[in-house]
Amino acid sequence: MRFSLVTMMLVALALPATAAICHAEDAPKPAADAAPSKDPSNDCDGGTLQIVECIGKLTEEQDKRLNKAYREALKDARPEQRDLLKAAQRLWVQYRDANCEYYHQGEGSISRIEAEQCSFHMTKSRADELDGTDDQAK
Amino acid sequence: MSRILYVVAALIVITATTGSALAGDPGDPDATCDGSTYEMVECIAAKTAMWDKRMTIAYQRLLKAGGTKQREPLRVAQRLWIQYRDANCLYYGMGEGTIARIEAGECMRKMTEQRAAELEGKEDRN
Repeated sequence: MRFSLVTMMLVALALPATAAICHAEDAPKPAADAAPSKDPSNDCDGGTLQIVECIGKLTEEQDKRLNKAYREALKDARPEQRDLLKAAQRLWVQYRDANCEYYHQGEGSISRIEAEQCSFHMTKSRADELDGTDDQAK
Repeated sequence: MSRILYVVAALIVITATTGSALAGDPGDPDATCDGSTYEMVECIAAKTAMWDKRMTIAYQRLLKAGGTKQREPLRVAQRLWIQYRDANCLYYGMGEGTIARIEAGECMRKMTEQRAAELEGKEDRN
């Protein structure tokens, strides 16, 4: 309860400040290519090496999307948001590497594929978030 | 500057509420968070609290169940996840208008839910 009270006080303090600069939000962009829900990295076939290479190529595409979306987001950000976005993106890179390394350290050769899939999914999901094609409203 | 401080404070409150999970409100995952800004923020925080509990349980289980080689990478990843979550949601919190406060809360809810699902899924595979 104590926290709720604190929250309420913070809200009360913040409302007048934010109301002044309140404006209509841009409507979220619809998904340009209402993507098929199935996971394309599951279509990669062959030996471990081929699968790893195949997923790696898919990740490259997503990485390009991500870079573009990140640059756009930086352009659209308010001045006070810019450094926060840069910091968040730096931390995202570190987190992605650490998280996929965790999968890589798993048992068996499947762990190499899991690490590759980790990279693909994370990159796609971050690109979706930054270009607004994820389902923000749930 | 004061706005940054405010958003930081608000995020800390969200995180703190998350830890002390409101007993009366299980944070029904299917409930839609409608109402005033305050009600929405509280409702989203309750959901976040529920996902945070699930995430913590899955993380602790994985630490115990995982091979020794994976233990340290998992700790490192989870530490970085927390830093990334805080930085990312602060970015949303500094957006324009009161909607930014809701977006920051939604960011916390969504990220925690996704991380919980990831850790729980990994658990199943072991």
